[in-house]
Amino acid sequence: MALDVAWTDVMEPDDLRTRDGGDPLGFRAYANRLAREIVPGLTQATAMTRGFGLLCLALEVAMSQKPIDEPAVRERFLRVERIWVAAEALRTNGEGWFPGKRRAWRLVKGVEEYPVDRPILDQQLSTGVWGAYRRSLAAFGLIGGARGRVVRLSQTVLAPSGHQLANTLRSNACGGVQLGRWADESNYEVPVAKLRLVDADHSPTKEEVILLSQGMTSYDSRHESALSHLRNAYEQHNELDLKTIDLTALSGRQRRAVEVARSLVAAIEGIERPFRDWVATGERTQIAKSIWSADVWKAAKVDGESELMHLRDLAVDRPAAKALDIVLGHHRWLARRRGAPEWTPGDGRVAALVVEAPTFTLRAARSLFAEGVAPHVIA
Amino acid sequence: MSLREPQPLLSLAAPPYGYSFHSGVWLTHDLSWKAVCDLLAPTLAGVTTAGERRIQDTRAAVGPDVPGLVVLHAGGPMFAPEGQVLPWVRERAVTGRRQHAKAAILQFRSGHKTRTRAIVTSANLTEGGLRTNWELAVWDEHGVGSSPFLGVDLLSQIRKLAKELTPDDHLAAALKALRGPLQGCPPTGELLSSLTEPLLLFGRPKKNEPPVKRIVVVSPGFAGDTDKEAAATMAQWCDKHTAVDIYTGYDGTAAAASAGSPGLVLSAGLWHGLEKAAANVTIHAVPRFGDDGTNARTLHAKAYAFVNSTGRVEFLVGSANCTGPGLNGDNREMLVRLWIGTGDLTDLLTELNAMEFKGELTPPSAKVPFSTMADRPTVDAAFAIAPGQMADDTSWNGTMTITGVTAGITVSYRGKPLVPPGPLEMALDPHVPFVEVRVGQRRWPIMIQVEAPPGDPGFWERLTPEATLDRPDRELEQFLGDVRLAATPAEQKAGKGQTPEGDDRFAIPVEQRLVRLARHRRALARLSEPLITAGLATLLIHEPAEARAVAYAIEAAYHPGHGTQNDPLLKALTSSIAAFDVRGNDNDE
Repeated sequence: MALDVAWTDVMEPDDLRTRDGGDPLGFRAYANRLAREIVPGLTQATAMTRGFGLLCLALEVAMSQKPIDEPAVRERFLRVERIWVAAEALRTNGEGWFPGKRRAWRLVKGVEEYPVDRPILDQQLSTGVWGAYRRSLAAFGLIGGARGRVVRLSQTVLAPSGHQLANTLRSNACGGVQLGRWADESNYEVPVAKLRLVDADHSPTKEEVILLSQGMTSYDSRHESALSHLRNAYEQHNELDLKTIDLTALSGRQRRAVEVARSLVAAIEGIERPFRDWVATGERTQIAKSIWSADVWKAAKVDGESELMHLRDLAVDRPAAKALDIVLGHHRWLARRRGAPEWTPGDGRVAALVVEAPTFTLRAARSLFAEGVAPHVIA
Repeated sequence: MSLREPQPLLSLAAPPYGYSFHSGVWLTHDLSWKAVCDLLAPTLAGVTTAGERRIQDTRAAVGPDVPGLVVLHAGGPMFAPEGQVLPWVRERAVTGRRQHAKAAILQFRSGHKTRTRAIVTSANLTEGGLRTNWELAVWDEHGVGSSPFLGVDLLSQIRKLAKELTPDDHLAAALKALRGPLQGCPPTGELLSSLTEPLLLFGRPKKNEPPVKRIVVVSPGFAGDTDKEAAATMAQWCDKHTAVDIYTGYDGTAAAASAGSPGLVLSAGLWHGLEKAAANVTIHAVPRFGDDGTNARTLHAKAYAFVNSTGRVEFLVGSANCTGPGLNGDNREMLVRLWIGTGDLTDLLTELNAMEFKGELTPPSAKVPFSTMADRPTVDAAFAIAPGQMADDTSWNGTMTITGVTAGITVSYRGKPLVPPGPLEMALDPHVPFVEVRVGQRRWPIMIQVEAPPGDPGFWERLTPEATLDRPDRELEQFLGDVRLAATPAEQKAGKGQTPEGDDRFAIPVEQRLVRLARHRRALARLSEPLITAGLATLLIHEPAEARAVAYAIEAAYHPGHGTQNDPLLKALTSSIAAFDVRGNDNDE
């Protein structure tokens, strides 16, 4: 008996939703799954130590004032994030590192008062620092109550280490600016002179790095030391690259996932790229028949990746000359399942021109390691 | 037990990869046949096409040689029969005690392999139940082996229920098919059911069983205002130290709920009864709308959690509302018992985004309760489609056979009386799949069992040629309809309202539509020449003159000298297509 229980989720009607997603054949969904096995606890968006600290700081400020109800806490949180991103935009003339920097720069450039009530991102909560870092922070034990799918800010609590991280950032980078005062809902503007006091640099201090490393180490001890293995691999060449990573430095689970990921990248190159070219330019190039016997298909079968198996089952015994048409058929099948737009050969859509191989979160891990973050469960 | 991420209920009905739907029984209270046609049946059959093609592919996806799906429902006003003909799904109203259980047992096959899935849920077979409501579902799946399986408990209950009903060949065939692979598989013992016997779902506390620390109720506020039975049932597990949390729907936004504005419907009988029995009753509002007034989600889930002093949680999920008839066995209900931790319970409740409600309660509207369904006449309607027609024809000629009609019973189709005995030659509209049976002032819809022409098992797969060539686009069909409309004299158009509301086809210039049609040339080009010729020949026999002109125009644009140059419509169409090719030239011809 293996009973499962769940809430039902809303099912959108079969219409043209804009779930284009840059994944016309379903490879990226598997890539994301492999990324979770290779780099557990992190995501592609968790690339800065300061991101972890900023979330803790914003949460601490948001929860330190009354009223503690969801709309008020959320608004204070978002305003702290805006203050930081605007300060960063000022320092870098709009370059910056956090999402929202461009809109913040437009709002702060050439004025004396920064309008802190104006959003810097559409859906700022989910696309900003909260959406990017909260799951990893919860995994590393710096905040609590934030693991669920629907998380209320006002019910999220900072762990002692989270408070420490917030305080470290506050004392090292906030230049004495009273964030609580400026983030209050009754306030609409922050003097730009105050923003200039905030030392909104992306490089973390040693204390921040240590606190994040401690959280990561604790998590890692429960996850086959996966991040520590990666850190060791990184230390060998100051690099984390799917092609060159030393498999012997990894756990068994990671090793298998990296091998499958390499094969998956080859499949993307061999199948998705010709398909994208066909859509973008109308020019057909042949798909090699040998691609259908790559290791990724065996792994996909074991992992129950039914969308990929659909493609492989359609194509494996067919002539190479037919492969591109079969891939097109698979794409249409998938698009209809997902309610996504269907691509047509020769339609020249921009999305088809943008080909980016998945990084399996290795880029984010490398970025944190380069900042000095170092979980060390193993020697 | 695993607590899983929220997922659409329909994802539980989808066949496993490589498998096809074979047989199943689905229990529901409310039944919308349209929801079955549009949502459930395509999912079971693995159909992903959209538009008009969807129902055609769905009809063809499950063959006449397998039992298919039988839906058992409450009937009466809870059955909305509007929809389409669907030959492999049958419905059956359950008479007697109100059929309120919501559960399914589904079998999928791949060669000789079978997989059986059991689902117990709070969701009805309606669009809201399948797509948008807050519902809960428990499921279990069996492939091989002899582990305890929820489907065995469920099947046993449905088989007992079938014995109460008048014999039904389709239900018997489905139950037989479902039973086969489960023989030797033990039940879980975790299904609490009043499906066939009026049992108290919670039972009674054991002797010396201590009161529980906390009770959580998740339920819509369906109890009548004077209904005290549900409170009395739960009071057996309470003392003055027991905390009771009621999660129920709020008809408004989170902001309005936080402000305590009216909109939370709850029975005073339930509220006061629990207050008397428990130390502290807290009501939590689950807002129906997002803060911006959109995203309506109605709480329809039913769940009960009994938290004991050790932190262990007995969690019951299923169909029974927190009402007297729901819990005391008046209704036919099902709940599954799960043992979970308090962390899981917190996670589940957090998903609801509920807030404590401190405003005035709104009393439930006075409804006329019913707890039993009257017997309906055992009338059956079967329609045999005559040979020589297509599965996507707008109507089918054939023979209707009505059985079971006795004195005082009348049967009609689209308002026209059908007079048995003896087969009736008539036309059936695929969009009107039921007959109406009448006894005095009472009326029942009964679905028509539609059968393919004798000796033609591939009938449901065979579509008119332009649909075959043109799939899955609807544009040619729409265009032909418009051409017909344009050719119809003005006096015949009056009052017909031919343009469906919201359909934007008339906003597209004719020339542009022709461009799109020309693109279908690519689809034609992939087919063999004899097939195209045969397809066009059939088209010319079956379609009116305007359609013939369009077909010739597409063909003539690429093969000049096809003839019929004197037809002005044909000339216009041909030149438009040629002009497109010169100007646009973005197709692959």
